[in-house]
Amino acid sequence: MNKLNSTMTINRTGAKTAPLETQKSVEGAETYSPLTEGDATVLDAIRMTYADTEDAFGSVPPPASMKQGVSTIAKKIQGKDMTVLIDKLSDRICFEASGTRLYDALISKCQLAESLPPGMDLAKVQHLRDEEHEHYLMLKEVIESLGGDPTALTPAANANATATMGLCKVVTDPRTTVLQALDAMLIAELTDNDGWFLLIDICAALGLTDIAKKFDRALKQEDEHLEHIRSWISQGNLSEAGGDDLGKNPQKAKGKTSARTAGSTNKKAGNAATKKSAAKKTSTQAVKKSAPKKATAKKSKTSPASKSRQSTRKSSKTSATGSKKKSSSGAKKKATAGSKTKKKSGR
Amino acid sequence: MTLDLFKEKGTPLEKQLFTWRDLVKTPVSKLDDDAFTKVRIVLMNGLESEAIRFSHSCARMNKDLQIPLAKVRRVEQFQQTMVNWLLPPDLSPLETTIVFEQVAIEVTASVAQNEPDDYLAQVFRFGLLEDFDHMYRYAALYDRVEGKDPNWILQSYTDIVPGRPTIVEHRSPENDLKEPYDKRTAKPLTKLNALTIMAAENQTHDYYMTIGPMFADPVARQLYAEIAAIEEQHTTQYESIIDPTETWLEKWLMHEAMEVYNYYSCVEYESNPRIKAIWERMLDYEIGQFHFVRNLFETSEKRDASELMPRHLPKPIEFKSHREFVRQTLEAEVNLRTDGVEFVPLEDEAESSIAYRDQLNSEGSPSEIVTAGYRWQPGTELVAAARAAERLTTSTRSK
Repeated sequence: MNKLNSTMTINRTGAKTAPLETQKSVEGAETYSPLTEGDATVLDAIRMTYADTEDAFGSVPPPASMKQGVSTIAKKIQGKDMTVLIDKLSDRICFEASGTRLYDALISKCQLAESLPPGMDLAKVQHLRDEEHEHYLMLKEVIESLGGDPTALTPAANANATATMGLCKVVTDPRTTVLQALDAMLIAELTDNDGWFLLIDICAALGLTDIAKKFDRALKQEDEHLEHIRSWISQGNLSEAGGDDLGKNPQKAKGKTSARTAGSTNKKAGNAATKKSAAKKTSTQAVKKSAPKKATAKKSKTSPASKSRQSTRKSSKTSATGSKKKSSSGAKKKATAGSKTKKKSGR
Repeated sequence: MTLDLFKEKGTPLEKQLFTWRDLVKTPVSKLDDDAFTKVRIVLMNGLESEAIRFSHSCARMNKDLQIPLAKVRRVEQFQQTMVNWLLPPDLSPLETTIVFEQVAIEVTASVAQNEPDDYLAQVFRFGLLEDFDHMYRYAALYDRVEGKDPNWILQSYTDIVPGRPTIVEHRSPENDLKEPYDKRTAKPLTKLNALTIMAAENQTHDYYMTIGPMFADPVARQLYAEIAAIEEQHTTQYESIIDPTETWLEKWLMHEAMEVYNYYSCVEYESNPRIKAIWERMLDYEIGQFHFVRNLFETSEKRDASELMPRHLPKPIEFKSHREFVRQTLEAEVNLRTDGVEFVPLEDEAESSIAYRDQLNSEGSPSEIVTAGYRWQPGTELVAAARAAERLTTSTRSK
């Protein structure tokens, strides 16, 4: 495919393609319908007859070795309800497997494409793919350590797989462009990113700090994935919309700046300040954490990962697990990583 | 002058070959190709599906024909694959359903207008108004559950309005059967028409039965269950109009002729050159198969195939909008019902059908619920959202 994006030819889907015939269809609809009164809310009449069903979408398999009490980690969380954790771990591992395959398909598409968005190269895509695969393997290990079954499909995993069914269709269809495939990848990465956030929060709440640390590393990588995908989409579309010069260097071309690029630049400029503030916040939380019950309860309501999400959504995803020292250093590290990324992306 | 079936030799059966790459071609575009290109693909898939279905039935009853049937059937299998695989993956099951109903409306309308037998023309018009209603119900489902415009698929060729309401289409089985044509006196076009529409409806039934469970919303699941039941009735109706005393070989030969006739119609109307080349190839294959079966028929039954088929094919099926004909039929015949094999006014409908559907609809009608107050407009019903909100406010106040 020569162009990164679609061409403008004979799309026949719109009403204006055949205005005279459309007018006849409209007149027909006005003459012959509706036959009855009501609106779309009436559809609930059918739905409500199924609403009280006791048959679920599915269930979560109990971790085998929890019953036997052989696992050290399992012992650590004995007495706590593992249902959500197991469900979400399965969700993540299934998503990482599908994500790896999505990247495989994207690589295949890129290899056959005549051009790629500015800044995008196969080595980078391969790197992202390999990290998805690493996450899959790491999750397998974690689930096994908890006595869970990494091969099971749980309800959360199934719901997500159902929700994202179309992604594979878009990426594997030879007729779609690289940019259309990247739009699908963006949906996957956004879902993935939030999935890791949630998992970190759940692990932190259950006191599984070592696991949360592992997940935190994965989240940082996922964050980079998201940044790459966003950048390729932005640069690719700009290059198609305004010509190659704009695509290669959107900030310089014609003095124009894209909303995302501008926002992103400002965000980066403000990152140092934000991260200092985030580090302060995390330190305060860590101090509060040592206080008795009340503070712990408060913490569980607004966990570090979600707090980080609320305050500095993309720029400073601080460690979810560390103590005062770890949190501070984590934030500092993140700040350094952020400035490195800034140089890399050239924004 | 139309195609000379006896002069053209087509592609000999042994040269009707495929490879996997050849079979699986780039699909058509949901956005850019003409709606009738998709209509033709769905129709021809249905006819190939019927060819295979008939071939298996025939093989189960005729030991001597099993080898020739298997040989032709193998090619039909690949023909169906090549045709059906032209549908694009971005055409969802519900969107494909809308194409199916467009086939049922526009192809049946063409057939009904060309049908030389008045009674059978009435049968086609009767079925047409019911499929016309199905389009309206599915369009509402597509609009109201997915927020999408059915006219993306229909491209303004076909009205989206109620026909004979689906809720009253449910009849007791004996009232679906109709009188068959007489194989000795019926015109060849009558036989081709009957086979064409029967095949299309049978495929529609099978398709709805396959995809119905793929939907999550109970509204969609019920609607597919309801309309699939009508497609089963339609298959019953259309297969009953074919003379059951035709011999197996006679039926086989008519199946081949019907496929030739339909591919010929596709060639005549196709706007996409790439797809037209496929129709031309399939036409040549079917002519080859016609002659293969013709030899079997003439050898085995000691009859001349020209008894069954004229030298020149009838005028092709018209793949175009039949809006005005459909509206005239709607105005004149929406209140027709059946009593056995007869078409009767609403008040004379067979009691057995009324009792049958009263029971079936006793817990509500999905087709009525999905279209409560529905009127299509370009850009979906949401274009009129402000008006709907006003209505809601008014109704709340009045309470």
